[in-house]
Amino acid sequence: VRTTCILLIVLTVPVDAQVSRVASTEARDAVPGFDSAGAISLPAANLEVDVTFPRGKKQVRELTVIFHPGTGFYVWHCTPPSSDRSRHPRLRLGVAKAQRAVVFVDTTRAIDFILGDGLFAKVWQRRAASLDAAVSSSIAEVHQAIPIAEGIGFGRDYQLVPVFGTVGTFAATMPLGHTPISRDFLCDPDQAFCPNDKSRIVSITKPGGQYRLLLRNRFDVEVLVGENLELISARQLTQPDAPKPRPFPFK
Amino acid sequence: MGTLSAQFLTLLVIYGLPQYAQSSVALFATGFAPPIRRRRASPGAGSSSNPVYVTLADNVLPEWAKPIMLTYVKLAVGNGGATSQAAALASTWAQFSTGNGPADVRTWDGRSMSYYAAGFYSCATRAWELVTGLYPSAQCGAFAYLLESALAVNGIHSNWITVDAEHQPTPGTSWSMLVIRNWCFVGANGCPAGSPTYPSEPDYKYLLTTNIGDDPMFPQRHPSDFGDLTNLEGVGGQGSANMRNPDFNPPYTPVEKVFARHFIVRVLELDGQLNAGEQYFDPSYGLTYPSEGGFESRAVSGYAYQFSYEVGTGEWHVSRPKLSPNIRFRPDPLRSM
Repeated sequence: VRTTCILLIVLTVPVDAQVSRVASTEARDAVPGFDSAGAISLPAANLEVDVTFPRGKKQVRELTVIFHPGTGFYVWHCTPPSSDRSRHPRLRLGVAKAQRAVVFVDTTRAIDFILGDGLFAKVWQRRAASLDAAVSSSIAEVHQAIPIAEGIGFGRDYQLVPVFGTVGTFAATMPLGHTPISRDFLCDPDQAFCPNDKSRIVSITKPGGQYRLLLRNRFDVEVLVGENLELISARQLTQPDAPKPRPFPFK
Repeated sequence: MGTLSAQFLTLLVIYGLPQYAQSSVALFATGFAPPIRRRRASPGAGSSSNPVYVTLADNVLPEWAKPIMLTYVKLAVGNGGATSQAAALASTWAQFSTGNGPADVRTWDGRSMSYYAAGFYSCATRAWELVTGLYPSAQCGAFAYLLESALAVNGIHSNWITVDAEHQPTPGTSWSMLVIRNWCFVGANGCPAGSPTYPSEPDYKYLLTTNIGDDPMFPQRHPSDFGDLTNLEGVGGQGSANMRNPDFNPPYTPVEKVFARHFIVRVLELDGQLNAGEQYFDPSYGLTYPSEGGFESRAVSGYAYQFSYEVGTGEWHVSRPKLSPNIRFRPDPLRSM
C-alpha cells in the first residue's frame, strides 16, 4: 500500500519546469540596432534550449540574446526553431539581421520592436556585465516564464502598437482618427498572399520624448510611439511602386 | 466561305442566332485570336469551318482588360439562346459552377483551368495568363478577372470584390489570414485527440505550422504536419477534380488554403434591375454567397495571425470563427468592369 501511495504521488505531481542548453548549438554574431546617436551594431548569441513544461510537454526552442555593452541592457527571444535547420538555420538571428526585430537602446532601458502582422514592442530593463552573463540570465528568465508560456507561448507580454489595426486579441488603443495602414503595405493588389518577410524597421530615432520608427515594405510608413509604447500616429510617406506590368504579349 | 479580313473581326451583336448559323463563319472579337490566314478564293481551294459567337450586347471590357480572348467569348455565349442579361449570366455561371461547387471551367478548346494546382508564385493572376496556359493554374484573382471578362463580353457590368478578414468588433482593417476549409482542429469531433497548444489564449488557441518563407503550403506538407490542424479534402476549386497527382495531399483539393485575401465578383444589376438573387459569385470555388456571413460559413475554417515571437518562423495562432462574421467585402472600382 505504501509503495502504491508513493507511486500515485509521483504520478500526480507536475513535472518541474526545466530549461537547459543544447550542447554545441551556440553561435555569436552581431545584429543592427539603434541608440540616440544612430545605427549601432549589437553583439548577439543564438543557441537551442530544451524546455520542459510543468505538464510534461517538451520543446526545443531557439534562444536569441541581444546585448548592449555600453549599458548592459539585454533582450531575449525564445522562439520556435526551424524544422529544417540546414535550409533555415538560426531563424531569429535572420529576423534580427533583416531588421524585422530591432532594439533601440536608451539611457534607462532598451525597447525591442518586432514587425510582423503587427508592430509589437516591449521594454527591457535588466542588465548584465557581458553577453555570456546575459545568456545565463536569459536562461534563468526563460525558466521563470515557463509556467505562463505553457498556456500562451513565450513573448505574449509584448505590446501591440496598432499601426495596422488589431492582431488577434492583443489589447491596443487606437488614437482618435487613426486609420490603420492597409495590407497594401505588404501586398501587390492582385496577390492573394502577402508574406511579411520583406518588411523592415529602417530606423529608430527618439526626437523629444517619442520614438520615431520608419517602416518599409512596398511603401514607407512613419510611426510615432510614446514613452508607454502607445501609438501616437502613423502615416504613409511614399507611394508603392506600380505593379510590374504583365501586358498581353501577342501582337 | 470566302476570306475574312482581320478588320472584319468585331463582335456580332445578335445573341440567340440559331445553332446552324454558328457552324460556318468565323469568329469573335477585336484584335485577338489565332491570326486569320488570308487566302485567295480560288476554285478548289476547299472550305473551312469556324464557329460564330453571337453575344447579347456590345462588350464593355475596359481597355486594360483587352484583348478579348476567345475563351471569354466561349464562356459568355455558352450554348447560346440567352435573350436577357439574367439568362446570359446563368449560362456563363453554369460553366463555372455545378450549383454546389466548381464545374471544372474550360477554355475554348477544352483545356481545364485549375485553381492552385501549384504554389502562389507559379499561378496566374490575370485572366489572359490563365486562358493562354502561360501558367499551369491560377490564383483567385485570375478567375475573378475571367468571370468579369466573360460577363463584360455580353455587356454585363460587374464589381471586383476583395474579401478581407476583419477582426470584430474592433473597427478598422487588420491583417488576419483566412484559413479556408476544410481542416480538422485537434480535440474536435472526429479529429486527432489532444488539446490546443495555447489553451490560455482567449480565442487564438490553435497552432498552425506552415512552411518558412513566402509560401506557407507549397512545397506541400503532409496533412498531419500543420501543428494543431490537419489538412482535409475540400473546399474544391476549379480543376480540383483532376488533381490526381499523388503529390497533392489531400487529393482533389487546392494546394493553397491560407490566404491574405480572396477575390470574387458581384453582379449588382441585371436587365436594369437590382439582382435579387445571390449577388456574390466566387468563380474559384464555384460558390455563390448572399453576404459576408455566407462566405464565412461556407468557406472559412479559421483566422490566423503571427504573434511577435512567430515572425519569420512559419507558425501562426489560429482562431475558429466566433463573432461571425469576421469578413469584409470591399468593392474595388479599379478592377471592376
